[in-house]
Amino acid sequence: MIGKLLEPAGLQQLAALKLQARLVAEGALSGLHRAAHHGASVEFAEHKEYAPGDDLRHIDWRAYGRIDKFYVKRFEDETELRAYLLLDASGSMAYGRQGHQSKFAYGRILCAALAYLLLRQKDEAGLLAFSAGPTRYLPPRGRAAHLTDLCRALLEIQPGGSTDLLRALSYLSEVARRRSLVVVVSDLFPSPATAPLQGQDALVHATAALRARLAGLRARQHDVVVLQLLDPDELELPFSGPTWFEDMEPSPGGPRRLLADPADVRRAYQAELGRFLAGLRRGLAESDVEYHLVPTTQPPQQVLLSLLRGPLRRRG
Amino acid sequence: MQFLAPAFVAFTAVAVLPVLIHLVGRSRARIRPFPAMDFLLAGHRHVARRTRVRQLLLLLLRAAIMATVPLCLAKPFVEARSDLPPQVSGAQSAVLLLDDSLTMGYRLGGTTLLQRAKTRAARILSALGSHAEVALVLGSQGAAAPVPELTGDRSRLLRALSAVTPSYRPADLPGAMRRAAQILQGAQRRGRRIYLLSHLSARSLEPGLAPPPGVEVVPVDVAEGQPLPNRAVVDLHVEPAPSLGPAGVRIQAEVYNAADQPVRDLPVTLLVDGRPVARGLLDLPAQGRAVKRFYHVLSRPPAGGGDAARAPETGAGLHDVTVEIEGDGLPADDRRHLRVEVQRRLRVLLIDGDPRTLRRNDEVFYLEMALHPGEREDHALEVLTTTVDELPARPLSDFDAVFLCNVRAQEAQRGPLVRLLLDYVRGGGGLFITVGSNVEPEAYNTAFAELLPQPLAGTRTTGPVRGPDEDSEAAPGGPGERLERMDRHHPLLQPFLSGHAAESLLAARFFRYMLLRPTPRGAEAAASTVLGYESGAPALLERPLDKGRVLLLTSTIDRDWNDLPIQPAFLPLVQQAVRYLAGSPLREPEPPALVGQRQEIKLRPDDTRVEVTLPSGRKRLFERERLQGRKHLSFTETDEPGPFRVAVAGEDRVLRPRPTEFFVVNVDVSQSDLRRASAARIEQLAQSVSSPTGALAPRRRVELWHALGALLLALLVGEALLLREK
Repeated sequence: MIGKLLEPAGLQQLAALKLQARLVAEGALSGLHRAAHHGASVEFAEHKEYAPGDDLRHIDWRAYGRIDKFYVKRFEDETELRAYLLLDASGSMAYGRQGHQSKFAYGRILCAALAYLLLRQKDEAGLLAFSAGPTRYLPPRGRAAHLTDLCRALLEIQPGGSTDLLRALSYLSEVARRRSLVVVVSDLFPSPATAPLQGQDALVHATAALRARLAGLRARQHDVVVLQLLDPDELELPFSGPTWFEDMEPSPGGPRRLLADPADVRRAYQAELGRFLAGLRRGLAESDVEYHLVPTTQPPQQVLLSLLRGPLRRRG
Repeated sequence: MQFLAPAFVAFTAVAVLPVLIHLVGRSRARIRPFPAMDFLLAGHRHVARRTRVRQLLLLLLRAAIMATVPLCLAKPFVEARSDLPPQVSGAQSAVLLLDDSLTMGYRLGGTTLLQRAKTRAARILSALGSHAEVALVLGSQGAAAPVPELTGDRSRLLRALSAVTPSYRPADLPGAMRRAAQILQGAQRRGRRIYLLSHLSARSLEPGLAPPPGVEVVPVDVAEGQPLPNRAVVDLHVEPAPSLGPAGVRIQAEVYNAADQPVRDLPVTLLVDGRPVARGLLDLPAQGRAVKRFYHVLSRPPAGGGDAARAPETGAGLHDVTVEIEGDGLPADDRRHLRVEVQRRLRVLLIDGDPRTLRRNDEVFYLEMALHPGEREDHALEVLTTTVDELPARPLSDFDAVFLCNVRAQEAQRGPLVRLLLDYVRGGGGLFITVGSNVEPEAYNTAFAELLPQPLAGTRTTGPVRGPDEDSEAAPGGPGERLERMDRHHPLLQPFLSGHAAESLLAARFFRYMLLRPTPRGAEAAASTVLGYESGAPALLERPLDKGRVLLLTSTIDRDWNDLPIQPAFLPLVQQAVRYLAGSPLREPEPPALVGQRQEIKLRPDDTRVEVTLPSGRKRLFERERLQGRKHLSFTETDEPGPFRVAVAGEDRVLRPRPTEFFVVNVDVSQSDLRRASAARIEQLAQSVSSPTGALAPRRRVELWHALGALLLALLVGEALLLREK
């Protein structure tokens, strides 16, 4: 894959992703009030009398003009933001409505745009792609060139296999020692291969386990944002005629299949999905985890904009 | 099952098409990778069973729809054994004798027997085919034949059949059978039959009903052997109940139960003038009768005004009384009507010209006894006896009639009596003058010249006469003279035209009576002889005087000159005289007519219009040209039971109710017993003269494609509903 990316087409893809990330980020930023962006990362806290060693950039010259003393502005948190971008690369993320991008492609753009935004603010951005386990990990860096590494990594990842978000979160809790922002980009569908239970119980159990794991991260002062990506097909089940539905992730007994007329099962399917999403939203809210349901038809800059108005602003 | 177009049956194979389409569709289902399988599987688990059932139903419905269409086109039918008599097959001349009498209104299974009979008749007509000639005759009394001649015109027959309406008249099957036989006399076909459509009750198949010679009678039991339990109010009788006062009546209703089961606590309701006033319960034995008695005071004036307006507090006047029992299959005979008259209390003044201390020797002793029998306070007549000297202070106009009994002329002339009597009579009062030993003709002629119908002459003795103080109990001797001449049209004498009353009146012997002088020519017309002796001399005369009238008895009112007071006719005679003088109705109300019977409505010379309102509310109007010169109007449209109201207009042409002419009509309950005739009787009636040997019972074709069409529609609706459920 690395070889492919070094080829002209690969380089072109890389450039395109970076450009796309930049466009998305700039688009999101253009939607924000300018002042809000400038004050986002460094918020004034108090004045302090100048002492040798203090950064001369922070001397308040207006205060010097008024009281003839050097005062230095102190800020709330002057350290850079460290963000971990967790991207689901399981088989289910490969689904995309015909003629539209897949959930994985959408998530890749979102991650790249977030990384662009963070690096532009001199913050650090890292990447953890996962399926049945962590498949690719790039530790957080604040260099501008790190964006290229992140984009290259994003392009190298191909979705497939089962999902084990819990394992990825366990891995993250080991590597993220400092207080960080954790952004999970996933459809959050439990995988039959990794779920200890089946059927309705599996969904309940997966929701509860995820909630517990994210609550653990919150307990360690991490800020957690969950972006659940869903294709409109998954929300609406708009198909017609007898259809063999096949699972996109492996199961222990082979891929699961179902012959059904979507018209017959649509209402019940939507009820089940709605119940799952409601439970998820309620559980994550109780754990103080920010949750966004993101249909892949929604422009990514809108998603970014809502993040800029939320967690990125608070921490920036 | 058979088919008119059997080729289409082969196309029912297309029923497998939906199954094939389903199978093919299943095998060609597209494969779609889908990530949210957990939710899909969970949702499917919830709806799997319902979906499977629905899909199976849909498949079956569609298969049925596909099969039904060619089946409809194939026009299937079945041939069922017909319940029509076998005689309907073959060429014949037939008369459909449809019993449309009262009892055919019996409701069985939600429809009347008449409706069943009409349906059956239409089917017989259809089965007879076009080669038969048919007539239609009705079985109720006096009914006209709707189709009185044999015809092959089916549409006319069917029209006539459907136009038959239920009648309240009794059945007259012998008469209808005779009429049918007459129609068949001119028949051209060899087979001659009368199809008798009836419930074949024993009452309707009376012994006189026999098959006409050369004609086969085919009885068709439209009740199909089912029992027809029926109850009826068969008699209604009202009589005074003096213990309840002058307006008290005792009403007796006799109810008959023709069923084989007794009835307990049958509700019986009494209605007076259309309003229920009392209810009771009655136990009826099986096939037996019971009487329900009601006691009631007719205290409310009847609707339509009338006599009750004169004394509303007493209930006097004419009332409609109805007794009805809880309805059964035949409601028409569950009620019976009667018109009741409560006569107002009349006040009578007796002026005693020969009072005695020994009461039975008193001049008015017998008269008092006859007018006030039993001396009960609640009697219809209030009698006051007085003498000339003790005349009451009340004006004479308070009295409906005054009897002047053997009063001396001199006594009368001493006071204002003569003038009072004259004013009284001219003002509308009624005066009855009787003579006796105190009456001197010349003095009377002078004193009562304006009142006497005819001047008095001397007396005539025809036998030994009792002295005033002789014992009245002793029978007078001698032959005497009897009454012979009688004005048979006079209202006063209507109860004495025949029978025991007439014999009793004519048995009275008169030993002395007063002769009368001839009257001037002009005055003769004023007085008329009501009763006359054998000799030709008048016994009772009447003279109208302005608004009132005077009656003169030329003998005594006690037993001095005759033995009339001890004859049974005396009491009704003097009571009639009082009512006549008082202008009160003299006859009992006519007994209720039966449905179909003619009713006579009395007319007055100045009547210009008569309107009769039937119980159903329909009205019949008779104009002047129908009434002129007639004393009675014959009303024949009594085809429904219940009260009939009569309104009459005089010269001002404004219709006003005339309650005295109201009448009621009841149904004839003689056939209310609907128990079926014995099989032997029916067989006897059905004895055929030319029964087709070995005739097969006709088969009737039952077409099924209409039902299949309806089924197809239902299937399509069902499919649409199932699809809508998705």
